[in-house]
Amino acid sequence: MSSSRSLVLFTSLAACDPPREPDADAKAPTVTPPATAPIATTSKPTAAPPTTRAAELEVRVDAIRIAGDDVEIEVTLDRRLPPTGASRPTLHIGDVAIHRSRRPDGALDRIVFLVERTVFDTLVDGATLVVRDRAYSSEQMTDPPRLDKSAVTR
Amino acid sequence: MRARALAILLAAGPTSAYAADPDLPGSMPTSRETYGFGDTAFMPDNFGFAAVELQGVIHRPTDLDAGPFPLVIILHGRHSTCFDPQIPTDQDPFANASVEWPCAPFREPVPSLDGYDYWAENLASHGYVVVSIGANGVNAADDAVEDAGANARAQLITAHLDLWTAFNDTDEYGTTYNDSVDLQNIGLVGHSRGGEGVAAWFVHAANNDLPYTVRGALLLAPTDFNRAIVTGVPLATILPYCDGDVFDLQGAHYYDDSRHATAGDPAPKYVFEMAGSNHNFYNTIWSPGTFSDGGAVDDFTSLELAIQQTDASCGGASPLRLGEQEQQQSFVAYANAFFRMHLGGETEYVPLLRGEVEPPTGAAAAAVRTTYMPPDLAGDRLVVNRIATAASMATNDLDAAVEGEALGDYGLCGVGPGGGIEDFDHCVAEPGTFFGDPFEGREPHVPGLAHLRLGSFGAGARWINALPRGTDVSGFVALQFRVAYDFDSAGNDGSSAELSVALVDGAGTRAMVGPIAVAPPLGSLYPIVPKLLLYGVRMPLAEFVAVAPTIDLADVASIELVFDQDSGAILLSDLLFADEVPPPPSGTGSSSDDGTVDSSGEDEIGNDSTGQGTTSPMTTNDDDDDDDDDDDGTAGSSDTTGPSARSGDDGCGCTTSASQPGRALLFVIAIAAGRSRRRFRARAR
Repeated sequence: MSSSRSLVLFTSLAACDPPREPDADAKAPTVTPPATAPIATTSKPTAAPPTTRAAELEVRVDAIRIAGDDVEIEVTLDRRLPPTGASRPTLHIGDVAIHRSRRPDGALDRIVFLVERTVFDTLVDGATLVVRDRAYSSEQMTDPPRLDKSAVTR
Repeated sequence: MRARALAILLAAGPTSAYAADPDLPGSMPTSRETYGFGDTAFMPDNFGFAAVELQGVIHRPTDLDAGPFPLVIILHGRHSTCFDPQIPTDQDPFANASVEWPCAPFREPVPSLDGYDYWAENLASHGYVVVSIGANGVNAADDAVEDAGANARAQLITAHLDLWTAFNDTDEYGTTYNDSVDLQNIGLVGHSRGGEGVAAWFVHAANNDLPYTVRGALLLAPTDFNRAIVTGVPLATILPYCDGDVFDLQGAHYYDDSRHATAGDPAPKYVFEMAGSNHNFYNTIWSPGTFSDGGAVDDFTSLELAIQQTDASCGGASPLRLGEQEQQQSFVAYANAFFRMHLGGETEYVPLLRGEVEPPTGAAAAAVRTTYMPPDLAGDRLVVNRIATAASMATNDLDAAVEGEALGDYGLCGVGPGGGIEDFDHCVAEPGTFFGDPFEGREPHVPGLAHLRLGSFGAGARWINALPRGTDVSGFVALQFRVAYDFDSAGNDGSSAELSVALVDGAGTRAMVGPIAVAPPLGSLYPIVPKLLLYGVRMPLAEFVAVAPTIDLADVASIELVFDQDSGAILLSDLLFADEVPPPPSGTGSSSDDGTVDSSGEDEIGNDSTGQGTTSPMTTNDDDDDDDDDDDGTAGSSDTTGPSARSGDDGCGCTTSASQPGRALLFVIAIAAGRSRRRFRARAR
């Protein structure tokens, strides 16, 4: 639920550098592309990147209500998401990302996402709801909440 | 464990060029005061009708009669706004934190505005009025608006400037601060979202014809949700390498986006990359060693805990990490140097700002890597190859040929065929992913900055930029470029890459300097670190003359980057000649031939590249202001440093000069600020 304070002894400092490719082109010919050459990108084939797992969030939808020009979707999280510079909790409903939000009563473990009603009308009923914020995500939930338009109240 | 990478400073010049380290306290006694107009005194436009506080903490010279002084405004970043003192935080630093405004009766405000006292007091002792303003109200409501509160923060800055107009010009709030500040010699500092608020202020100011002149803006670990581009004002960005909050260092865009945005831009730009530094320790209220409420943490450690991985370089247990006070001192050093130069005209700090000398003692632990872009004035900047597009690989900005010899890897990354920020190619094979989504944590410059990749070096590998016949660079101080170690290159094994640089004149005389060691960036926390951060390499032209005295700098035919290694790769940008060689000393003072003094930072940095000169802008200039002589060596009197010696104010908050038409150009994109109706205005306009 809560993260511990920063007094942590790190017992594992193992490096996890991305995999490197074999040095295949150490001796190469002169290259002088013409001015009109198409862009020579330097993208390289690569092995699968290391996996970075998100800090797993559990999310519960508490209410969906109309408030002026917005529809508010209030969720409760299983942990506090602190407000920081880069923090911008985002609610993904199907393919739509909702960035606007507020914290009810100042709580760090509750978020009210603000969806324009015109956007809300386009959302697919039953779509999966995922909350993300930087290193946190609820997409790991085995039974994620889904949009229930019938639950909208005024 | 690898030793900390040090900045590459080819300058063979002095390790310091200034009489006193910039972070040392000044001689003036200082006082601390506060002001407040209530928690809901100001309502920004287009901010959901959320009312916010007008509160400030002032550090200023005790003797205000010695003023007027330059005014520096500090805007803190986003953090918890309130805390419940009854709830302990020993198990969870966020246990008593909340985000609301005003605070509930049983909670107390988190005093984020107090977190820069350590710096404000120091700068005040050098003759500045420094005001840290509260923004808890913005923090509590900013996620509800699309721009994350950038425009609201900009309006808040203006509200305080309006207040200071009243303090300064009227007796509406008493007379203590009458004539205390110079509102045409303002500096702005913003931390995190506050940094973005400062950038947005220039948009806001341009849209509202504000009567303030800002002469320096410093963005500390800024966010960049809105991609504003600010030109026309000296701009510095501090990027803490171990930022665990803004961990993609998106603030790198401010320099990248602005550096060539406006033709004739008279303002220099800087990036100071601070090793071992995190996001929060710059604010003591966010630092657990100083304050225990409201979520004070080492942000990088919090990040490690969240994703359950550790990093040997940036983690809280790393010996390479700076302590809270170390980090704060490094900020004091560079922030002081920046403002004392650009607001105070203390040109002795020019070499430090340009990366020509080692960091001062107080910032040594941060192993600062400096990137510097000179003003876009004829004598100060000659861009050879900015690496703008794929065409840059064959033809440079001087319309001369470019060749890569024996380079198996010769390409462009960071931008796409359209040159836009959406269709870009990554510079590393795998850009990094969080949860399966691309994440630019390892590539702060992407999208938006083109990098040239040079690698897989064959025998005699060189990258050659021809110059038009008769190119005279004898009037420039240095050759410089930006470089990064490609940690994702198959051939780079973790040891430094090396290159040398040669100038060849029209007669074939060749002067080669080097090799330069390009150190690998630290870290192994995928996809956060290591990072591809380009940094500046500055090579005094005197070094080339030293190795080949007969070289004719008045007729340079080509520049060659020469690679001795046989593998690996580096990334490159912005090859250019920088800064006009200063005229030889002639007498004292900085008076020009016509007897006037323009001691603006922009002009000083353009005209005195060494900082060796003692061309104090504080020297005589009898103009309309006759209220002080300012002979104490400190900055700030308006008769010498400031507005009265300058011509014109375009009213947009940036500097203008009738003699330099391009000076005032302020180009801003991305933020549609709209003209706002300011609900709080100083009454004494």
